[in-house]
Amino acid sequence: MASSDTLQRTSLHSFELISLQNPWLISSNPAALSQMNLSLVGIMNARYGNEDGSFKRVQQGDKLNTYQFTTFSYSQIKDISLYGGFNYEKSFEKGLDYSNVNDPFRLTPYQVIDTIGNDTYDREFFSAGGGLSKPFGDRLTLGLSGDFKVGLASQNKDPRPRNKVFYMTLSPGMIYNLGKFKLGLNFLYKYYNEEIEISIVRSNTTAAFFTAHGLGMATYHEAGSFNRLYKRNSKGFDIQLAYENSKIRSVNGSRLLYHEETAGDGRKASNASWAYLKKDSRLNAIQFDLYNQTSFLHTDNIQSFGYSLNINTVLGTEIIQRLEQVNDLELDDWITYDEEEKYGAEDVKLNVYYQFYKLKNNKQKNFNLNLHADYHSFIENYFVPNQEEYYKNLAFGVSFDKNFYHHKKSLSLGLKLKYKMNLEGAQNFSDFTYIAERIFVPDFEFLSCNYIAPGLNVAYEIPLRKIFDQLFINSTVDLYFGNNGQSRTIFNISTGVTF
Amino acid sequence: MMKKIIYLISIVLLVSSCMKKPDYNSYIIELTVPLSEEITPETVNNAKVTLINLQKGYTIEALMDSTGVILFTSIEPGFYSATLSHSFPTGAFTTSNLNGMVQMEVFSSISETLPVVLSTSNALVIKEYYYSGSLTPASKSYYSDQYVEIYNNSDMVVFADGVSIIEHESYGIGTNYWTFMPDSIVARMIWTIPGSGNDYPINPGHSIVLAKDAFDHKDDPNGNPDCPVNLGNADFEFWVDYKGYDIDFNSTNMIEDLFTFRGSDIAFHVRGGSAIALVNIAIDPVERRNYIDNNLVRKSSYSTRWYGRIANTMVIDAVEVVFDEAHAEYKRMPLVLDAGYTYVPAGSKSGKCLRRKIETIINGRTVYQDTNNSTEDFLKDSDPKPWIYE
Repeated sequence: MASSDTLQRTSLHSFELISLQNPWLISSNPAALSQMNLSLVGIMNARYGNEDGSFKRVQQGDKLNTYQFTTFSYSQIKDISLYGGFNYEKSFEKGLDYSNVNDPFRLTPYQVIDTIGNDTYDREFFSAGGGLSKPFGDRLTLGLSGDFKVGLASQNKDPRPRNKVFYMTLSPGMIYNLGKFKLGLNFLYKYYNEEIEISIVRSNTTAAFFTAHGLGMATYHEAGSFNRLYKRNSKGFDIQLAYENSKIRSVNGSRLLYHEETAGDGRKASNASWAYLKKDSRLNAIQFDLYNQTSFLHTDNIQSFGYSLNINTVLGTEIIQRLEQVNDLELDDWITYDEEEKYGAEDVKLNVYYQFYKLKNNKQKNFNLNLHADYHSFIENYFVPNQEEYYKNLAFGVSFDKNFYHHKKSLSLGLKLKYKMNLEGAQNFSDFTYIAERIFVPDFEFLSCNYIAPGLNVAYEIPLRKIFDQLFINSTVDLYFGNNGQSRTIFNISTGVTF
Repeated sequence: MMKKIIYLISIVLLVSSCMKKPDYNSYIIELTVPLSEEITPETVNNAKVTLINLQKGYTIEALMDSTGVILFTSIEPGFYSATLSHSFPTGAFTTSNLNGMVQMEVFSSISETLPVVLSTSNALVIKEYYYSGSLTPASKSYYSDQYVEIYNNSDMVVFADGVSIIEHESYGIGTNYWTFMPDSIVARMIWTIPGSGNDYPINPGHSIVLAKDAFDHKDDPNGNPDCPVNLGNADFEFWVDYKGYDIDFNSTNMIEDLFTFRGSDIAFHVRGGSAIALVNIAIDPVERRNYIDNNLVRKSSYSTRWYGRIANTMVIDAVEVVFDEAHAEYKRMPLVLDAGYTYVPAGSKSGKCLRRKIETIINGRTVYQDTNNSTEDFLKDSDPKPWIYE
């Protein structure tokens, strides 16, 4: 019914303890399941989330309402360790401008934008994933994991996109035991597919579309409909070195992923039909991660510290094509004239943290103190005409939460505070286009803005007698106050059971 | 030891994760205007040259010096057009226009000749061209409100009698079939203002409106309350005598001289396919009929569709209208008539029109810009304001 080295019963803080006691979880290696020595630990919950306020990205909706159902569990059958999860999410993002892609913050400049705003994005997504691992002898453990996400997003106003999104990850892995040291290696394959069909319901009506190429540069189309297809393949690996004794558990890892994404348009031009696919662009990216988590396990407390460094470098290539008649039968096709590497970006994120987790009766949570610092730098360039944007931000955060117990019932109260400050940043544009003025200038103001974000979380748990361990209700509120006078509130409430 | 190994591996990975810098090209475009006895260094000095990226739509402007050569540097690869536009006084009361245009594929540094023509402005100009139509409250398309406004840009009374308006044969979605006739334009529609020469005066600084349907589109129950114009006072109407389908309103009817694709009413292409021109064929209807009949052309000997060939010398004013920048390569009007092109970016059913820019106001009389280059001369996405000169 619970993790063998933590609690008799599974509760909300069981999952906090699992992540503190098992640094392997920060890796993507499925073979690490066998290192965690878990019996059945599970959670099933329903969540409602609400975001509201003007302190946001330009391509983010004014309001976001989310309804989510999640279930997740670890378990063990003989010497095979398993995990599995399922998630259903329905959301409504209201007051949305300048976006026809499901996620405009995916580190690609190649987006489809229309100029008629105040849209609502209605999204419905399913995701599921699982993994297993099994030791073979004393030294070798093998594992395999996979997950997928599939969903549909659609807008309610002309021009109205329908985005069919599919995402999957597959990872085989192994861990080799050298005593106190363990070596891990797993391979990663990811695939992302987003097919967008934009239609205009009003008859005989066209709209302006921009296919963006980065930092305000875009190609303009006036059309009655528009199609786009994104395909991304990612391949890479993750290596780990772990050290473990009775008091210390530490995992260091390094991950490298190569991404290649193409964007193609089914644009209707002249007398061409949708069968003529125009190649718009290609995006190549390298993602490098370096991470560590080290936990010191004591009888009445756990201390953990670590870091994660994430570096994404992106290279964008525009494909210059023109629709031309290709033979005497008056058939048209897109003819490629050139391919130009015109976009580059580098995104660096560094997070360091320290966590002190005080236990009560050696197994229950007493209080938890968390300190963290985050550094984020981003630079992107478009070449000819030359456009540049960069910013560097530093953030500090502290959170504290304490549990109170009364007749096997538990009340958790927590406070948190985060402060973000901009270190430097600038936009050097040689051409202030429509897209630059409407999206990039105000978005940069947001990204380079300082903010303070206090937060509060409350959780209440009561024990159950039969199938499930605990019934819980959990709520968090985060308030963001920017120094530009804007604010945003993020509220979540969830309820469910642990087992 | 193991930690050192893993850090060493990480450093190797970090180094290998560095993406190479973008490898991009930029080129130089050298444009040369051929100088001659007519096109002198003084003529081209200070002429504005506009380079337009046809895919992305942005423009780069520069002034030419007296050498007739201009350089654009740091130009990204792509498809471009360059237009030259320059007006200068050639007498106490006359203005000459120097216009030129060239289309280019720029995938290396290139040197191109920019052909230019000299022309003079006429008294009558197209002040407004409203073709996009509007949307009804029920989201139905409405294009009964299309019109063309003709303005007297001179300081003398001009008679509109016998002035014809023509629509070019091509909608500009493919290469113009008639490029082998550079001295003419070919029309699918010719409509003429009636009169014997002294019937329809246009005072200096005033205009006449040629309406598709001359009624109050805003308030009439058969109209569209969201339409931007009331054309109840339109001076002339394109009325088609076809089984009673087209209502004959009070305005004076234009004369139907040629209507190749004859239907229940005329219609300008709502997306911008209709390039139009004012032409002076002949005031006398018989003489005009003879000219048109003697200049009918068709695309093949099997075709039953006949079009009217109009000499460039008959053109008073022309407006090259295209769908968008990407379709500018299908420009139809010769440089001498319109060196540029224009369109309504807001698109069909937008209720927006093309309006000529004001050059100056002389003693209360508005003088509109007329350089025979519609890229320069017209405002895009304007609200229709017939009979208003501001």
